[in-house]
Amino acid sequence: MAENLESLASRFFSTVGIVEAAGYHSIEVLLDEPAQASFGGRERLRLAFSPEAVHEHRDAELVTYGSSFLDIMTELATARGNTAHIYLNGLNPTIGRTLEKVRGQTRIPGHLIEVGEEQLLLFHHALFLFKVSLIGEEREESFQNVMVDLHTGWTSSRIDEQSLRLYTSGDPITRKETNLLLSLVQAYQIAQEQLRADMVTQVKTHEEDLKAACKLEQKQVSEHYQTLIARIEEGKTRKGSDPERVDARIRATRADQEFRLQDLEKRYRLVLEMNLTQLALVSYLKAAVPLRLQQGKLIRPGIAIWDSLTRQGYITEI
Amino acid sequence: MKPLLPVTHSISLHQATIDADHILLTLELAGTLPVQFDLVLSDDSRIKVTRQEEILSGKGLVKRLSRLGNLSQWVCQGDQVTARGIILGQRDAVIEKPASGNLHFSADPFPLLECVWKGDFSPLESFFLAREVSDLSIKPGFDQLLSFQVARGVTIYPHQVNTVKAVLQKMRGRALLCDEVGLGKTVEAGLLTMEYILRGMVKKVLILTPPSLVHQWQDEMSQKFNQDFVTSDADEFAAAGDAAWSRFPNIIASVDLAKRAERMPQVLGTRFDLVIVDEAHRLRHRNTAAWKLVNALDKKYILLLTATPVQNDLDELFNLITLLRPGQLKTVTEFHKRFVNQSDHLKPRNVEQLTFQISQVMVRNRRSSTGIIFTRRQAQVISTEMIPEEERLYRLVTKLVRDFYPQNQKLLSRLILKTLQTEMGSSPAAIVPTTESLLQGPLSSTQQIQVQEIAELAKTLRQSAKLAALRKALAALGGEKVVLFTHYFATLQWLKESLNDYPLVVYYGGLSAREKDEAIERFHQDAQILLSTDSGGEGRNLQFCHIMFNFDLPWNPMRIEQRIGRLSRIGQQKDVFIFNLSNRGTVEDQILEILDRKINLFELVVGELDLILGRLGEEKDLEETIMEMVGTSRNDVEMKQRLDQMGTQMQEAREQYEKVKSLDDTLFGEVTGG
Repeated sequence: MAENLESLASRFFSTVGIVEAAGYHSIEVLLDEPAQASFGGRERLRLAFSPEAVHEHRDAELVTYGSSFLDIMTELATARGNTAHIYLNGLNPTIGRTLEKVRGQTRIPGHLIEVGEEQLLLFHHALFLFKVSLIGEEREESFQNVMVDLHTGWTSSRIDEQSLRLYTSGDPITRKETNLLLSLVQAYQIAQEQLRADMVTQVKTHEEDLKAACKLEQKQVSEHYQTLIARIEEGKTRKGSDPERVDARIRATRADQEFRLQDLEKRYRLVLEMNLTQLALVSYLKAAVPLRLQQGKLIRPGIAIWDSLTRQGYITEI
Repeated sequence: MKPLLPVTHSISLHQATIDADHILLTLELAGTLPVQFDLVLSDDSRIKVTRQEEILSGKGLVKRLSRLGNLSQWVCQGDQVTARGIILGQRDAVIEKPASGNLHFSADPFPLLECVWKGDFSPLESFFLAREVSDLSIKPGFDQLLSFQVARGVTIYPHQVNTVKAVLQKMRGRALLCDEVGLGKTVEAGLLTMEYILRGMVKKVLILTPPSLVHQWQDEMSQKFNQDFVTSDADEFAAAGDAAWSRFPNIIASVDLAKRAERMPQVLGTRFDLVIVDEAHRLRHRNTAAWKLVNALDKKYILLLTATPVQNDLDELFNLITLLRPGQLKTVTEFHKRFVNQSDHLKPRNVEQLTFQISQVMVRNRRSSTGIIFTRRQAQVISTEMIPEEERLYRLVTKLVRDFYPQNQKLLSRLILKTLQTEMGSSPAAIVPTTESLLQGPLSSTQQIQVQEIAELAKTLRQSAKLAALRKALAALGGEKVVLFTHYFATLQWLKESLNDYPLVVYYGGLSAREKDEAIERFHQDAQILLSTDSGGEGRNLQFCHIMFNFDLPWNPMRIEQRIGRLSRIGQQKDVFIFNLSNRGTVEDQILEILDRKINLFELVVGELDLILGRLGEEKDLEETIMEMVGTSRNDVEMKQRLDQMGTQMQEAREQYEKVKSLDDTLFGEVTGG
């Protein structure tokens, strides 16, 4: 895994400077001017990827999983690549059996009275990448994505980002498009809501576990201190005891108990932090069939869409 | 949600200027005059342009376009521009955050939204690369441990992985680690520390140890986990005064120092994310200052390390567990009632229940159940008679030491005298650099004469009884691989020359990491002897060899144990043979006698020595104690008597340790945690 780190770091630093191998698991980087600010104005960096390499090059910065250096590197990489317009021109959806495929996944609302010609239309999506941190007795981080179709508001979570990379050549797609419905702010709000819904179950189970554990420990602590206090109180009846002193001890013990209970409360609190780190506009063709639907007396136009990326079919009113 | 009609209307763009509040458009269709529209931004995001005639005449277009809202980006194709684009939405819109007490969307999304809105995209490669790099900085849950990637020269075994996971996940960072000696409690504690540090959950660590282990912990944390700790006896720590406890992020202190009344307010006024207490059986009495200190520390996580949690009474267990989780074993009275046999405080009742309770906070791995093969050690002393010149040199050095050690002079300090004495125990060659350097500095005339004589004799002496014995032993072993240890680099060089007829590789601290790798590889492949200094081979895998020679004997038994530990460790398949070369009548000869006969050091399990020495209650370093005896004894007889006395104390300490060990085995057996 350290090998991966070394090769990826070399690849990244070659985009922000010049990289040279500097011996056993270490590299030297001559940074471009704009990148220097991220590293305290330093022009040169010597990076080591194993503790042994640091041992050899005392001036080298150890880059390991979890190191703060890696956080700085990530910050810089993200700043340089936080948005993209990704045309999935390699996706190549085909026309044919669209309505059949859509029907396999969803029920057509109403009576279908007319089906238009199948066609490929260009759809734009906002792909939101969130870093999700579950912070409690442990800290667990992950990346979650939510993609919002800007034409329909349809959302898809956990898009395989590797496939986006595979399907794009970087060239734009010029094709007939549908009109946009959502603003980016609206799309973000939808994505946010979707992510919250995705995460809520996970958090709930975790939270319940923690609450139970906290309750048990708090009960144990309370019992422990109650016994201590009872024992101190017994001292009051002892001959020659100073009641004020005993009371002071009781107050101190109660304060200690309160501190421990609050500490437990803090330790068992669970927080879920979600931060938008990257945003891409993802544009690709989808097979679509215009429809006319009758529901009672009402006849409405609609469109059946088959998404070859997410393998989802849906019908939307138009 | 209603979608828009899938219709695109295009018009030619003559000119478009977009700024924060306005969109100035000059549009035209062929053959018509340009029509200029100045649009004030609004929040309506819809547009519905259905008839080209409307655009042509401008009829209703302003109204329609003005409903667009924050139209920002026009998708241009050649000179065509579609009459719509990506819409940002209201800049000052309050983005509703889903309401839930513990869910937070903390970053402001607008900077990114605006980049996309303006069409200010990063190159695709940068976008995907950023994603890859970000994945590296992700901190996974405790199912996936991170510390193994940063630990250096440490072989991690399944029982340690299980322990680390149990402490992180089930015990939530408050645990009593009671593995049997030699199973790597320190490594477990180091791994746990790193798991927290790497996830940003621990930023301030306090390690409390007996005074004798302060520097050992500092070395281990530095070498194995690349973590710098300041020790409470360091000058920089002292210089920081009262602020030191809060200023330094990682501190190693002796319990004795931390518990001193004058220190208490500073120690207790500091919040520590993690506290580790080594040899935690010292906290077994709740009325002691040490127990009270640890109990009162403001701490999030706490690890107590001991191989022998109970020494005399089950109450000791109660006290230790109360430090971790008050109330876990209820109250003392209830604990007694439920779990302690009233007629014998060392006998538990309701063992199953007690085991369940303690398994919530305690892990004890036993050697027998780890599945790891532990081979035996067999030690043999090769005792030699010094050749006359050697003996003469030895006497000269001893005389110099006895003449000047009691005086503790600046010119010939105790440290230098100790160095000379121990170098003499290694080889005449080891003495040469020290004497040469002494002769270049200021010395009294008597000292000058004595040192000069030693230097001259040492330089000419090329024979050694130990070397002859070593050659004989090597010949008897045939071609078996051996590790030959010496404490001194000068001895290493001399041995390298003297044994040049053997396939030999050298290994010492000055080699680079690559050279060290290569040396071990050569030793593994075709060399017969690995000639190594003490500082060379921490953590290196030498288990393929099972014979070692101590050409010289460090006075500090912990160093001897470290040497043995290189071969006699988990993974060794054969019994380990240890040959100790020793000149009769020397200090080393007598130390060997104590270590071998009295405490059976060479056959102890790695780690047991710590516990035995810890029982001596010596504040002073053992090396210093020995040197004191050597330097202040008037003659060899007196020195022998004093060393014998120390040996008897060590023997008693070992016997006591054996008793406690047997008691803990009976009481706890194995506790897997959780």
